[in-house]
Parts: sequence; C-alpha cells; structure tokens
Amino acid sequence: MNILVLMIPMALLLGFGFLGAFLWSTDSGQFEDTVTPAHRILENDEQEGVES
Amino acid sequence: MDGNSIVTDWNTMEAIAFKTCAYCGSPSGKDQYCCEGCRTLSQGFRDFSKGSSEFLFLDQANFKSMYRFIGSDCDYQLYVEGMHCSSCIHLIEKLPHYDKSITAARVDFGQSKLFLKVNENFSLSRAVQLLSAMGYKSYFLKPSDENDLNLQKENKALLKKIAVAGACAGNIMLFVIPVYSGLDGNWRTIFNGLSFLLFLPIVFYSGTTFYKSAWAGLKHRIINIDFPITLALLSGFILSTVNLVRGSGHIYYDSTASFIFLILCSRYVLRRIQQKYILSQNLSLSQRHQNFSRLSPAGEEVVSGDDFCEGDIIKVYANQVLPIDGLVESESIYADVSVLNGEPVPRKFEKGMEILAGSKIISDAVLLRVKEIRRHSHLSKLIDQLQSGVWKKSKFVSLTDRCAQVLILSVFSIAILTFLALYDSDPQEAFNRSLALIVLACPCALALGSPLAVALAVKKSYEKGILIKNTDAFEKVLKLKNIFFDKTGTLTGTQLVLTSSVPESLSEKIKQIFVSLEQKSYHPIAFAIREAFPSTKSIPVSDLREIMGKGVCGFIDNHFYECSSDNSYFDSSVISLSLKEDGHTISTLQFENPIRPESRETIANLQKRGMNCFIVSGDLQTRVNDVALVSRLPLGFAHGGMSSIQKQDLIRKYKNTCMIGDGTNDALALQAADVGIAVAGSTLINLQAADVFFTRSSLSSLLELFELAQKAKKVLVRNLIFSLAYNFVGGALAIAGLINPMLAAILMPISSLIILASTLWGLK
Repeated sequence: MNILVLMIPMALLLGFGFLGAFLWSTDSGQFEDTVTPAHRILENDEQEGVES
Repeated sequence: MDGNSIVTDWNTMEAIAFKTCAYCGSPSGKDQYCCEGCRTLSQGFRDFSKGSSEFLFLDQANFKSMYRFIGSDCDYQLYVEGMHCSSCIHLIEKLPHYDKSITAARVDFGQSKLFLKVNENFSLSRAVQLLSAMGYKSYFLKPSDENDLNLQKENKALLKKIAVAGACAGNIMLFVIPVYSGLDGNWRTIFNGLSFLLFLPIVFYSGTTFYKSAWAGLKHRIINIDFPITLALLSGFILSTVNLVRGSGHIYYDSTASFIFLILCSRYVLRRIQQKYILSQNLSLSQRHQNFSRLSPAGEEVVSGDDFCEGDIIKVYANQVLPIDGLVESESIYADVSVLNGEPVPRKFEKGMEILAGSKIISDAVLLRVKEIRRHSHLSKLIDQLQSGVWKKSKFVSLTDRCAQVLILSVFSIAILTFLALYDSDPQEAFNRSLALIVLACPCALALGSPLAVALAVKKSYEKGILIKNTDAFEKVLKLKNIFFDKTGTLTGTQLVLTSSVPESLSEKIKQIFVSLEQKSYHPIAFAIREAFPSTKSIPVSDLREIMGKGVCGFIDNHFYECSSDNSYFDSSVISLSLKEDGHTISTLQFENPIRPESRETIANLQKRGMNCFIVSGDLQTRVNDVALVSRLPLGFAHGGMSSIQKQDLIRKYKNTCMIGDGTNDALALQAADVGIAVAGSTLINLQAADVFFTRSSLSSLLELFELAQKAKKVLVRNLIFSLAYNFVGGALAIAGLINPMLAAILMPISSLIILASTLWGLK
C-alpha cells in the first residue's frame, strides 16, 4: 500500500496539470474563435518573403 | 459560409459543372475567382494605398477615442462585410504590410470581425480605405456595441467553473472506489480526507454561481431552482464533513460533486443557445455604421448616425437609410418606406411631415430635423420589443415554473414530515430517507427542460425566417381552425408584373422607348419593365430626367417622351403607366401584384389539415374572387371590400383564429385574431400588433411554424410527463427507504441529462 503515497500525488499532479492547461487556454482566448484557424492553415506562407 | 464545406465539397464541386475559383477551389458562380481575396492573391499583390477621400471624415480626433477598445487585447474592432473564404482571411491579415501603423491584424471569420492592434500613427480612414480597395466593406465597432464582451467574460468564468468541478468530481470518484470496495482503517480516512480536499474548490469556487442566484431569489422572496441546488450542495458537504470527523456514516462528496458538475454543464449549454440567438439577431437587424452630415453654425460636419441629438438639422443624401425619426425640412421629398409598410412605390413627404427611421431617402440632399434619436425611434422600439418578447415566459413555461415551485415546497414539507415521523424509531434512517427525497426530487428537469425547449424552438424558427414575438403563439398555433389571409402583399407578392398593355402587342420600338426611358431608374416599375422586356436593349436618351413620383421624361430622336403613372395607384393593386409622345398617349401598360405560387399550395395544405381559409381584403370583390378561384377557395370564403373594422368584426365571429397580413388596415384584425402574423414588408403598426413576423416573403413559413409548434409541444409534454413520473415514483421509493441518498444523487443528474437529451433530440 505504500506505493499509494507516491501514486496519489502523481495522479493528482497529472490531473491538475491538465486542468491548469485548460484554465490557461481558456484565459488566453483559445476557445473564442474556433472557425478561423482552420482556414488560416490552408494558406501557404510563400508570399511572405516577397512583400516584407 | 461554413469553413468545412470548402474542403469537403471539393470533389463534388468539380464533378458538377459549376465554375470553381481558380485560386481556392470554392464555387465562384460566373467569375474566375470567388472573391477579391483570391483575385489579389493569385495576381500578386498590388498597391492598395491609393484611394478616394471618401473615408477621410473618420480622421476626426473624437472618432479615434470613441472607437478605441480599452482593457481588451485589441485596440480596434471592425465588422468586415464580404469575407468569403480562406484567401480573404489571409489577405486581410496582411494589413500590417500595407499600413505600418497597424502592428497586428486578426480575423474572426465566424463573426466577420477584424481585430487590430495599432501604434500611435494609426489612421482610421486609412484602414477602412485599404479594406475598401481590397474589396471589403468595413465598419468600426464601438466598444458600447459590444455587450457580448461581457457575455464572453461570463462564459469564460462558467467554463472554468465547469472544468474545476469536472476535474475535482472525477478525482473524487476515483478515490471513493476503494472506500466502496470495503477499505477500512487509516487508508479509508486518508481517501475520504482527499475527497474532502478535492471538494473544497467545488464548494468555494464552482458552487458560487448557485449561491448568488439563490440569494438573489430569496431577497425577492422567490424560491428559485438554485435554492434546492445550493441546499443539496451545502447539506451534502456539511453532512459528509460531520460524518468524516465522527468517523462513521456515509460520505456524499462524490455524488454531490458529480451532480454539481452535470448541472453546470447543462447551464452552459442553455446559455450558449440563448446567446447565439440574441447575437445573430442583433447583427441582422442593426443598420448602424452609416455616416451623415449635420448642419451646424460652423458648417457641415460628418457624424455617425448614433451621434445626433434631438433638434439637429441633418442633411441626408440619396440612398441613405434614415437612422432617426425626423421632420422634413425640405420642400417636398421622396422616400422609399417599403421597410415600414411594404408599399413598393416611393412616397412623397411634404415639409413638416414626420418620416420614420428605416426609410430610404430617394431625393438628394434632403434636410431633416431630428425628432427622435435612434434609440427612441419607432423602429428600434419595435426591435427591442421583438427581442424582449422572445424572453417573456410563455404560459406553458410559467406553468412548469409554478409546478417547479410547488414541487420544491411540497418536497420540503414531505421530507420534514418523513423525518419527524421516523425520528423516534431510527434517527439515522429518518435523515437518510428525507435527504434522499430532497436530492432526488430536485426539479431541474422541469425548470431547465421547458425554457430550453422554447429557446430552441424560437431559435429554429428564427433560422427559418420566423420571428416569434410572443412565445404563447406556439401553443395557440396548434388550436387554430380559421385562417384569414389578406390579399395584397400576403397571398400576392409585392413584385410588380406586367399584365396587360394598350395596344395589345407592343412594337419593338415602343418597348425600346420604355426600356430606354427607365434605364437609370430604381423605381419598382422600372424593374418590372426590364423584367417584362428582357431582350430589349436601351438606346441613349438626351436630357433624361426623373419627374419625382410621376415618372421619367427625355428626348429620343427629337421626340419628347414622357412616361408617367396615374397618381391614383396608391390604393389599388393595379398600377398603370402611360407613354406620351410629344404629348399624345401612344401606349399604356398595366402592372399588378400576381398571386404567389406557394400561396395555393399553402392553402391546399391548410385545408387538408381541416382548417378553414378565408380571404379578407380591402380590394374589389371581383379581384378577390379571382384570387379565390386561383387558390381554389369557395367563393363564400372570399370577402372583398372590407374595411379594417369589418375585418376585425368578421374575425371576432370565429374562434381559434389566425390573421395573416401586411397592410396598415390589417392591424386591428391582427390584434383581434388569436394569432396575428405579419409578413415581410409589413407596416410598423402591424409588427406591434402581431405575435409572429415572417421575415421571408413566403407563406410556406406558416406550415413550418405549425410543424415547429407541434414538435415543441411534443417535447414539452414529454419532458413534463417524464419529470413528474420520475419525481412521484422516485419520491415514493425514497420515502419507503428503497433509495438511499447516494443512489438519489446519481439518479438526479441522470434524469436532468435525459430531459436535456430529449429536448435537444426532439428539436434538432
């Protein structure tokens, strides 16, 4: 049973790590616009160098 | 446009003989490219910096601060019209390359918005002009336009609460498994202690939503749905903590936590559906972002339509849509008021007459005195009413609300009685049974399901072009027996069509004169003429002039031609147009509003459902009879020559009535009928009198409304029956001691989920 002393904190750490990641991504607005990024990826960036 | 369709439809699009965009592959209609973005990207970038001075007025100092977003991660927001595919996004996001004062540009395709970050050299006019050169119409959004900014913040907060509740509930459920499988001793205390720690964020963070709303309800002496949730949450927490400290008895952390998580989830779904509806409606109905000139002692200045004050004198140019209610200051002007009354023919306004917001000015450089600013104009009052009416609770929802209230109160009293009755024999069992009852009988099913069903039905109908002002209409629609149609504008269309002419067959030359004279006119008759003579080409006319409200005149081959209509057409559904050559009438055309093709089908369908259809019209009886014949109505059901009062009286003679109309003379009838429906292009007063408004000028909306009402009713009744049965059976079992609080807490969110699923599925 002693292994639980290690496993429980690790499980919690893992779980709450992901929770933290989710809270951070919500705060930084990653769920606000779910449509545009899918379009942005279709464009290749080759024109970039020409212009700038 | 849906982003996925571009990719998934690729193959099918090519197979069909549609022309596709040479750059991005989405369907492009007749052109080589689907949009300006693709044209620009494939032909290489060009210089967009040259342009007209059209937008220079945006550079006034107060505009810059007025449109600035403070405390947000962008400086300016624009609404961009015409974004079409991924090339548009790509091109617009290149803005920083063209204007060095823009440091970052980000597009939100779904909302058609552009977010800009800028430095101090930024010029508003340059940005709008750049976008205009790229082929997009754009408008700066004011921070006050953005009440969805707050909504977004609240959504974020709720989402975070759900995430925390979900993570904690999940972990608690893991830690409770060993306890349930018979763990004892120290480890049992440790696992329960862990559950306790994990429960703290739920009590002190995720649950706060419920405490606030329950408290707000109590302050107004209302026991709302959040009250029993709060009670279940707090009593679950306190009871479990007491049992944990005592070292004996049940622990309810797991069940309470999952129950809170599920309730939060269903709340979020409901919120998003409601918001989606409100936001989309806001966008479609607003026509702000226009700029007008105001006359002041200092001269003419350009302001946005929101900045007028009462009493200002403003100058409005041709084709601008009025943002305010005003009084005419010019001698006499013409305006297209079809938004307000559905009349296809422009109206003449004399000096001193009131002209309402939403009218389109046809004369140029018209002076108006502002009577009511935008917020107080008739149009915006009406829109407000439409929007608020949606959230007025329908009778059925108020019924379920009352049911829920009664349920909460009676469950409490029964629980207390059970506790008192059993207390003598076994206090622990008495407590368990009453707790099980309270947890089980939480009326979420009732209180969440019905508003969600109605909200979904309203949203669905909005998508189909049906605006529901009064949600009671859903219930009333199902009882309808007698349906009354107005003729003009309802059964018939508003588009004018050429019906007869003198002489019967027109020579090509006369056709050509008609088409040439009307070639520059935006008058509905001009469109009807072009429609009637599609193959006729126009020839140049010298000294072509429009005689406002009368017609047009000009010289062709040294003959003076005048094309004018009788002024008597305002009340009649027939408009005649005569052509005079050097003062002699050489031809007359007659135009009419023909019956809409779907009118007949709709009437046939309604009759099949056992409803009586009537025509009530102010028009001549013979004309009404014609329409009745075409739509296969018995002549006894066609009433012509009716005044507003006669229409009203006729409708009052019947029960379960529905009136569908558009003219001002229908307003009384709309009010008298159980369900009043105004069709597209109705007068303002009609929209106020009606319960339902069809935004598409098609009567098939009526059938769709029936279907939706039937669906909504089915879902509501199903939900009600299910939740009442669940509460009675579950409650009885709980009192009998067959369901322990643990099982009750599992069953409760499951019942809520079933209601949610049934609602979403029933109205999908």
